[in-house]
Amino acid sequence: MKGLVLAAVLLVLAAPARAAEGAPFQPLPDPAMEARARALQKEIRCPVCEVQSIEESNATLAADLRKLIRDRIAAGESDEQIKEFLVSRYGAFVLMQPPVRGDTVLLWFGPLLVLFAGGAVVAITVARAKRRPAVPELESENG
Amino acid sequence: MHEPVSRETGILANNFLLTGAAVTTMIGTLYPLALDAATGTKLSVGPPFYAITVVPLFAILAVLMPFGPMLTWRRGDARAAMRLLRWACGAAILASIAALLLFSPVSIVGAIAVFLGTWLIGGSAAGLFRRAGSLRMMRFLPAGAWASALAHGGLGVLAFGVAGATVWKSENAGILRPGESMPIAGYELRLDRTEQVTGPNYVADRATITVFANGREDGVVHPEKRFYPAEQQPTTYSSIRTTGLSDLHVVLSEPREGGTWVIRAYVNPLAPLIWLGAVIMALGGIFGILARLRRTRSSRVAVPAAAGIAQ
Repeated sequence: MKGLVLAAVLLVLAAPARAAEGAPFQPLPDPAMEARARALQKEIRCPVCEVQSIEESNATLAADLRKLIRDRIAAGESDEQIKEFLVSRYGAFVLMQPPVRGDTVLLWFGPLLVLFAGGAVVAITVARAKRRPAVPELESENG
Repeated sequence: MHEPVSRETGILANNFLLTGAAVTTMIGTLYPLALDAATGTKLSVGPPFYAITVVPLFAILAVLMPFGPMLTWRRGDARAAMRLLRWACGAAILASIAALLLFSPVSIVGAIAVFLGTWLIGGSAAGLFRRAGSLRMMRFLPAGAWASALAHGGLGVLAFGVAGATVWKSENAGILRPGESMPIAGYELRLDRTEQVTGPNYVADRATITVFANGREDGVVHPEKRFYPAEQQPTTYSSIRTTGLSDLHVVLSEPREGGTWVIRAYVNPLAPLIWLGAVIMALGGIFGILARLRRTRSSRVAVPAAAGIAQ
């Protein structure tokens, strides 16, 4: 009796984990469409995982989203339409490449600004160094 | 103090590009946090952002790197430097054409990476050769010469690894029952059996998969899919098999009825070069420190003499 109870408890604990597989994997018959699906999967972040795309993740939701993408590609939707749908459901968070819009201007153009500032510093430093008189070198040249 | 074309400017350009890449990475990492804190909007910044922003900076850096050691302090001769590097440039062009012709899929990005890798390694060799004068004399070179050659050449090796592992990687997924095989990039993977194993806090499905390379049996891998009751979430332990110059990853993905499994396999050619390149660069750094220690010790003797001359 105790053995039966223990077995039942273990089964109950393990059952949800085993059942949590998500939609089964079924590659698309057309290899070009399958390649499109794989490429698109790499651009979509798994919403419940830390850093993985749905291509890499083994989470239930990732498997469901992979099937969703395949169904929509087979139905003739474009990559943009599928991404729009996923963004409307999960937010911009689901895209690996952040959109270029009002609140991401600093993200996309920040690096450019930094590079311009750094470039200006380099240019000014080189211009000033050319004008300064020579100073005797103490260190020998090294490789 | 120094002309626009000189080793000093080379070091400035180096600092500018590396700092730019670091600041860009910092912006990409911190921006989602800042935006979330400020407006509650959730964003993610993934590999595509860095591919557009950081990778070009490193490409420019790679083009400039072989010139640095060829330029002298205060006033460098760019034309002389280019003349010393012409063999490295030619080799790089040939290698990138070979990459376009020989490897599939045909990839411009891959050809550029092969060009830069060959350019860096060739440029480092040219630098050593110029310092030594001949192949035989290279063993008398000071640590400082080896420092820059290893550091720059190491990045070239790393560039090859990154090119192979990202541009020319293969992946495949198959639905196999025991005894069936699936192909990937010259390998054949045969699922022999799966069994249940138990660990201290998990229960797992463990597969035995035989790897065939060009028809010959080449080893066995054991990917697992573990279930931790405490977390109610399955975790996959993929098997990684590194053979010389490539990585083979095999993942036990999803079970099906009747003992069938979905198996995913990935081959990343040249991936071990990423690690090797980094190790070589670290070695270059160590040589640089040794060279600096040696120079500090000898300059303590030289400085009083130079000060005497200046007066």
